[in-house]
Amino acid sequence: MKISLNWLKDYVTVRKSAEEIASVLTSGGLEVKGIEKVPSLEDILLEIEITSNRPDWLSHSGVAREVAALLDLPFKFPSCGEKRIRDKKSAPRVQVRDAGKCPYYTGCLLEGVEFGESPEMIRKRLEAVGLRPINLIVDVTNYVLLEMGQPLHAFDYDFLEGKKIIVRSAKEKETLVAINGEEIALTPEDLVIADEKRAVAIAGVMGGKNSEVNPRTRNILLESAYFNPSSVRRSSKRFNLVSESSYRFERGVDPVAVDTARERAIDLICRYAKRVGKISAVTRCGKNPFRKRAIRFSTGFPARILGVRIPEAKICNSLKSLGLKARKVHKGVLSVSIPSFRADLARPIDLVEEVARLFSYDRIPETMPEIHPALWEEKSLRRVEALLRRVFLGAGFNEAVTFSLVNERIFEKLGVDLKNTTRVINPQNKELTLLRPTLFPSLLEVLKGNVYRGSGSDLKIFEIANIFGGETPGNLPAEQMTCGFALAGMRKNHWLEKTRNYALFDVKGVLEEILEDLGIRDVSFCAGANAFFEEALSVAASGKPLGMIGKVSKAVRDYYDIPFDVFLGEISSEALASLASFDRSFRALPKFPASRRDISIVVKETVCAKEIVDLIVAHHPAWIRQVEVADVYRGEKIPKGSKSMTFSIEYRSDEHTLTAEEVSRVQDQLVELLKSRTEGSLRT
Amino acid sequence: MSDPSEVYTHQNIKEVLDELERTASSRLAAAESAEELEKLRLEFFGKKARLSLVMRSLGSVPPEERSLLGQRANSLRKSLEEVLAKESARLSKVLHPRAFLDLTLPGIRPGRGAVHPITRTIAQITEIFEKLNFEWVEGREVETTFYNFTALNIPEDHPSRDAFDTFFTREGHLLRSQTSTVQIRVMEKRKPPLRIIAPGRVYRPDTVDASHSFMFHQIEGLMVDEKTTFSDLKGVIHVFLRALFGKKTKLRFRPHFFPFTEPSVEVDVSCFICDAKGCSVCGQKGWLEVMGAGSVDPNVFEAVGYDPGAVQGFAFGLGVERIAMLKYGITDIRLFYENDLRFLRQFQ
Repeated sequence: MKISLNWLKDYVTVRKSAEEIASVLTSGGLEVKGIEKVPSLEDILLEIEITSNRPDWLSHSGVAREVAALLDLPFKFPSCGEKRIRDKKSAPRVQVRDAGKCPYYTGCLLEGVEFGESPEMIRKRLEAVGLRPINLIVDVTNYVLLEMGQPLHAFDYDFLEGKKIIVRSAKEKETLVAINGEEIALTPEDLVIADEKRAVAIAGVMGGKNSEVNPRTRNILLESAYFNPSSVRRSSKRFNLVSESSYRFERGVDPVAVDTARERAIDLICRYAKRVGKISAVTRCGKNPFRKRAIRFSTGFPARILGVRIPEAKICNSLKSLGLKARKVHKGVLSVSIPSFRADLARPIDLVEEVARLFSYDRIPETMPEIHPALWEEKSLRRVEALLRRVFLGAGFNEAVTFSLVNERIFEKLGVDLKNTTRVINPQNKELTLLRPTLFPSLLEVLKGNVYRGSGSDLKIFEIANIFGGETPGNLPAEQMTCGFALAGMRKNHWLEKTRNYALFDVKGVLEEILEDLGIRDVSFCAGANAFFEEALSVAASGKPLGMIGKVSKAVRDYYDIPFDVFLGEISSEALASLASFDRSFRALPKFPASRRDISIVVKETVCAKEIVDLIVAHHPAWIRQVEVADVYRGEKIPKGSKSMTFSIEYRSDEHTLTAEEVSRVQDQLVELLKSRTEGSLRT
Repeated sequence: MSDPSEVYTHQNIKEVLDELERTASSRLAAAESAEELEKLRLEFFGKKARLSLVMRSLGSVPPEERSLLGQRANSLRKSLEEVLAKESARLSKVLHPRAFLDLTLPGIRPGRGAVHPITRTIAQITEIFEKLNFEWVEGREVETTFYNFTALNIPEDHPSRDAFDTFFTREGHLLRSQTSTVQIRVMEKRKPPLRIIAPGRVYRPDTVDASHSFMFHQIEGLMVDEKTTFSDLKGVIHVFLRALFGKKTKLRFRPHFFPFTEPSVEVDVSCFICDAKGCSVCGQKGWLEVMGAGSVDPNVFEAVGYDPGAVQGFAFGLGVERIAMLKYGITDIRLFYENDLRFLRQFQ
């Protein structure tokens, strides 16, 4: 909100500079975001951010009251002028049909009014805070709104059919052209001000064009009311229409100001209009909603909350300067009566904040809490995440953070069923609506962006984030902390070694390392299927699925404009956490040395490495300790449709040092076994 | 070189010793390679060397001369041996590469990845609080109105909701608009004392620009027991912000409004970019707003079934992106989510 310093000084005599006032306000909770000098109007503006709990600050007098309290200066409330003769007979006819939404409505008729533009003082001030002066009547309602925070509305009485005001719910299909020219389709939820035939204003939000005051208006009905904050807010939200008026009503206006502001406006009109014929008596519908109330307040309570003792006299003085009356009930207990403009103060804790504010937060000492340290257990999910990060970073993968909301199009294109997914109904970006059921599209987008930017052809990224899907018992969608990773292109060339394309086994290898680091055994990989992949491998341990890795299909790559092979993987951090074991134990080192032998065997392409490894291990488990795939070769001297595989075998006995003869004997048997079981031949 | 069968006369011996004493050690010192030194060694000490001949000839020298010449020959031999050893050591230190090795070639790096600056910032912040014995916890991202609003004292149809624009799902749930939801989830399950720190993603349908994103990260903190005060809140925040931004950091506590705390405060740190003199980052104010905090509102305690008369404490929240942008001098929030490798690699 913009506050004119000239205007402010009507209510508080403050000699400090704009910067000093700004600083005082900021440390009092009215954050001054900017100071703007307006030389043409000889004024200075303070741009103040006003929190939603303080509607009383949404006016110049409200801010002035705070300045007075913070600087301990006297505060002068705007005057409502002299008493004027009221004509009882011409009091307007008002009927309120929904007292819930409009608990208090007042109206006053001003007849035979002749007016032109506003006096220079009003015009300058309105202009300073960014309002265009229109005519005296409209300007006065705006001026009083910005002065006292009470929205007023002036109707051209001659346009009111039946010369009557009816406050009612809008009818089905009723419309209103608001003064901003917009046609608004009303609903029965909306409260309107109507005459006998039609709506003439949306209560508390905006007036209608049909009854707007114009320069030829002579008879004016001045409305000042208290509308239900929620009702105004709902209408304002429904029409996406925020006015100075709705902004204040939805926060709650000062009920007492409904009457004082109306009188202030009448006074200003009488003072500045060329002529005012007759002023009617005020018609009041309903009861002013202000109820006197008091809060019992223990003067020791602030110390308990704040950690600093504030003397009782200081407490009383602070409350008084804010317009609160503190009465001593007995020793250490006050009864604090709350004025009409402070609906936000309802509990002792609310008063603690007022006392603390005026004491100044900066004067509250800084202490360290007394704590009893407790050893808390680190969740295994977090340890898993830390380990995943360590492994991926060590393997050269860069961490990405991408949006949890993704575009559905790729799933549609791939024919992926999105039945168990969650969407937002009010997306910020129309394309990003789906809470992602997988990290794959996000990772592919990151690759795409980096390919486009020319970041090279060696791309390695990972992300740890939730994926969404299914339902939990509480009906909320399941959230699964997941690690996704992508590897694309080829290993970066360096001067000592030539490059090579990445393969599925690069991601498989990283995954194997992770599983080993997490102490997860009994791991099985088996062929899987996934819409993104042309070659997929699912991973499980102890029968529990962990995730999937695969080679992205050409169609998907093309969709993302990635010109080289892409391998993706996704593993559930939670599944890993449930299986992870961080305990380690020592096994005595072998007493006898190992010897190593290789076997190369030529087999059909369809014979898998694991079959052969399993055969080798099973052949002599007591001596054969480890089998590694050392080489896979296709080419010269190997028949088409076959491959040569070399296995490196580690022999070791726990009983004695194996002799060359002993190893050779087993190795020879093994060769025969492999030849017969795999229909292979020894490579020579 | 002389014939081994040859025998020096008394006069020969004198001449040889004179010459060797004068020249031998300087010739050894002048050797430029191991090969050269080896040649000299053979010349002086080999079987056919003159010094060896001297030694062999000493027997034929008259006894009165023998002991003196013998001593001279022996001490010469000894000193030459010492010089030889020294020079040999010298020459062995000189490197003689077989081929030229270009040592300016770059090393072969295993190639590590870079942690995302958001993760890095979260780690920096949570580590400080963990040292203060706060426990790391996590919450949900899709939430109900109760956890995101009602329990946090944000009533329906209330303007305080305006600060928390929220994404809703078809099922009537929402994406949490602040990590304060975790406070409620934890307090519902556990009894005080509590000291927790909860980082996570939050969502607000803001228009995306250089300083706004519809998804960002927050860190929520909560401390509840029977006696923790607002001055304790100030103390903890003070320790935290100085640990994060440096020992010289000055703090400013401004009253503010949050529905879930009372009293509420916004915390500014002195601008570390311009040393609080005023720059474009702090908007010439010298202060940077970094976090919100306050004493937990009694209504929140009531919502989770705590007795508001028996417990008290504080809560705070901060935006991770904001802190990271300030710390690293990043001027556009969108960079965090674009994951440009040229950006990510800067945080290696």
